[in-house]
Amino acid sequence: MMRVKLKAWTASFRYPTFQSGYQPTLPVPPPSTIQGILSAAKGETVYLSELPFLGYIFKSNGLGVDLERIYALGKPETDIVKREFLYDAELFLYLPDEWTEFFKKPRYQLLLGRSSDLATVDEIKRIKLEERESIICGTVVPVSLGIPGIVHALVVEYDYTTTPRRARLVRPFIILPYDRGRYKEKVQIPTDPELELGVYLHRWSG
Amino acid sequence: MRFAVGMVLIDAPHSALNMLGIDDSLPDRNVTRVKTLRRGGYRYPYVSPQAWRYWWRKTLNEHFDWELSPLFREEKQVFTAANPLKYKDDDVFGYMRAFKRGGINITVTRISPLKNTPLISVLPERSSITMDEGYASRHEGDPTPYNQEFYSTVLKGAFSLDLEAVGRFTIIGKAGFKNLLTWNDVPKDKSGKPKKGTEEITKEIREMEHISEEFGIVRGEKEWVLPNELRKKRSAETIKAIRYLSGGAKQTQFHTDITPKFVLLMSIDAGINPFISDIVFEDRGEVKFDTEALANRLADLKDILPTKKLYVGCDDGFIRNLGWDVNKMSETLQNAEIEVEFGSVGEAIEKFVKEEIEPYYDES
Repeated sequence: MMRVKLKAWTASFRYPTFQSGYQPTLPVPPPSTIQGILSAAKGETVYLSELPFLGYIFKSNGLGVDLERIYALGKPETDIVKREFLYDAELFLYLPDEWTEFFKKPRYQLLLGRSSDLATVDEIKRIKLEERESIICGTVVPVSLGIPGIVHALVVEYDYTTTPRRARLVRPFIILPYDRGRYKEKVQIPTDPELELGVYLHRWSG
Repeated sequence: MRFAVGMVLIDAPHSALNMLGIDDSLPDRNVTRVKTLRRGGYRYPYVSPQAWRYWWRKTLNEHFDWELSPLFREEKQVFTAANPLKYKDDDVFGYMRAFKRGGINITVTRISPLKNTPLISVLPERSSITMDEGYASRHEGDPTPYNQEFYSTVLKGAFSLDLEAVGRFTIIGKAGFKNLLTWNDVPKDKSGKPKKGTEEITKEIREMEHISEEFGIVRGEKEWVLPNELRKKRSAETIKAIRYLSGGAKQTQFHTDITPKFVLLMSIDAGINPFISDIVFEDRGEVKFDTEALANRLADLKDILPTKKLYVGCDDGFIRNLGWDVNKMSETLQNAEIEVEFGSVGEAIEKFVKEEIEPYYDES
């Protein structure tokens, strides 16, 4: 398989349960954001349920809160919301080999969230994961893995044939922020020997 | 596919361009703070991406006579006209009108061909932010104290403009790609005529058709494309506007010139911006430029750089203050087989537009 490393100054991932007021960001991207990135790279809508596997690890080194002017529901005047965003972000994607060509020459601008979160491809390399005991963090894993953490229903993929888009596949996930010191429990899992981290390979095709 | 990508540095020797207001989380509610973000143990001032976009739009309006798309309020939301044929800013900056009128879905969205990051301070808070203690005393009675923050720093920002997307309006039934309404969106009665209650929609479609004839737009099944002359002009002016950038808060008190003092520009055949990395960084209180890192990165991307040419625009005084050596930069880049065009900010932008943007539309 291959590993693509994306870098961006800023990133933001909408927290699903907050509708108005303070807008926090998820600490890691939901699968639907990965769907967006893969689609932008390939130049057409990609459905994660059609990929043989997909793994990702995300980390960021900072946080900010922005003020944004909005036109709030039912109010005649404008309002200000606080919106969190992540700073200095890196995303590692683990994908089948054929994705190399798409990430060498992405068709549309790659974004880690919103249109201001412009990203660049920092590195593309072949990688061999090693099966061993490791910690997992900086990603989302299915609840069935039994790792404790915050549970969220996240969109795996959107159906883009309708406007506006509609969620096509939603699953519960455990969200594991990137924090190496926090996780003690190791599991038997394919491991990225460079990052010394387990990579959960999602398979939604089955 | 081709993208015009760039990085700008804005010198902000004493400024407060984008404020947070009063921070309610502090015990002292008398301080107007600037926006900052945290990285590791440090905080960095920044300007929102939306603020930068707003300045960009206003500059296009003031220097290039762009008539900006008006805002409309419908029920609970506000939209621009969502008319990218008539309003160039709808074309370049995108829009989203998710709305039903009379039970009919008239949602149109356009992904912005122009994308930009926030403007982020190179220096952290400790070496950039000052607290100004002021007194309002021109009224009768005791003077009223107030505090406000401002910074002295260099702000860096990056952008990417999708040249192919400018002036190209897709009508595919896909989120982000349904830029315009079509006759397919209009419910019909038995005789095939638009139903009652659809007058406003049909009016909008007719207006678009009318403008499209006036402009000589090529209407395909999946997209409408403006004549290349007009697309060229819109893209060229968008990039040229960087040179005249104006706006920002607190201009009365700080009078900050926000025209960039340093720009990097190039065209690339991929949706990435190679300048997003630590090319410009802080080293013991100084702003440094890592030419080596930039050269390596561009050498890596050689296959997708159509002209392998980098345009560097700089203000002499600015880089002299920073102690940057232009000749050495040039040499390092040329060793990586990247042709470098140096000039003032204005010259670099003009040259880039003339040599890289305009020919793209002439050839395609």
